[in-house]
Amino acid sequence: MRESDVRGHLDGLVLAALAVGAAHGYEIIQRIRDRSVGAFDLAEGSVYPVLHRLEASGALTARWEAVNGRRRKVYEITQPGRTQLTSERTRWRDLRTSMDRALGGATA
Amino acid sequence: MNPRHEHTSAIEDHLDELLVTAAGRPRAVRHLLIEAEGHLRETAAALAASGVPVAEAEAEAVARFGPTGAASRAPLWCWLTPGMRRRITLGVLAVGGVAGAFVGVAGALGAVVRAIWGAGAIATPFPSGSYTAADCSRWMRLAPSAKDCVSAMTIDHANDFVAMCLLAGVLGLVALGIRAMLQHRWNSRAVRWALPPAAEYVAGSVAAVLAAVGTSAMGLDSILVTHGQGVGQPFVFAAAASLAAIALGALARRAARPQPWRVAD
Repeated sequence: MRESDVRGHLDGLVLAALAVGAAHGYEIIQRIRDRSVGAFDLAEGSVYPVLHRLEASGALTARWEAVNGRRRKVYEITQPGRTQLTSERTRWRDLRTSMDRALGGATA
Repeated sequence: MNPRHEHTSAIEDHLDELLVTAAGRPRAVRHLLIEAEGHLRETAAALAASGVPVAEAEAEAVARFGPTGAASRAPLWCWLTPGMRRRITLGVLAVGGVAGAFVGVAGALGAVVRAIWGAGAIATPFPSGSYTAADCSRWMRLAPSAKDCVSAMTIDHANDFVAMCLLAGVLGLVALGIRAMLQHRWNSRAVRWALPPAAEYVAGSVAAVLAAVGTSAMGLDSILVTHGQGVGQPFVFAAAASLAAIALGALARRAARPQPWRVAD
């Protein structure tokens, strides 16, 4: 799947990846890849602007950790982030339903 | 680190590129570099652990990470480097200050026109029926020598025009003063070279020429429509805009001249 296909849903993907537990950027990408069964071919760096924007908006909090002498930033979802994830899921379901109807051949 | 290894590392090259292309607050850029380096090295280490040669693992990690622009998307203002932001601020203050100062010149020219040809040469009265008796009383109080309400209103409008233009001139000079102060503080190659030399003055000069042409056209139109009433106003603006265009053109020429680098930079 192309990156442009999921660009509008990156916030939701990142929030969903963090809903199962705190993680740093590399781990978040791994979770998205695992959960999508490798379907999303994202430029891994594209997750960082999303993380920083969600952190600035209060949907995520972040802390620095030292691992093997290297600093890394670990992100955690907040309550407003969980609320946003719920609305992202709803938005996706509405879009999927509308697309199914518009494209035809679906049972929805 | 071995300089040769540093030179040939795909990860090092990518981080160098990210450093010079990432925009935003210095701390945000530093943090992004730490995150990006950690990510790239983790990916490369995982690939190397599965048997991929180190150089190929680094190249694959960089390819998966994607272009540097993908990792450093930011709002428009954040895309600008600090040098660009300072240069734009200085440019806006310079062009705005010169524009304000020459609006002040228009006010001074307007005062001369008013003294020679009277208030009607730079101001037009409101259409009859659009003002009240109370307005008339106020204008007559402000201009007791006026022969009637329309004359008093015209004198008031002319006075307002001159006063507002002179005030704009003072604000323009204040802007130029602030600009001189900031330029002294921000004087560095990073600021001077952030945009093409003289870009702001060229843009300002073109805008001033357009303003001169536009106000001249308005003046000619008002000669045809009002037969001279208030016609001085667009023409003093046209004269001031022409002078501003000449001044900004001269500043552009001076700024475009190559300047020797200072050791202090």
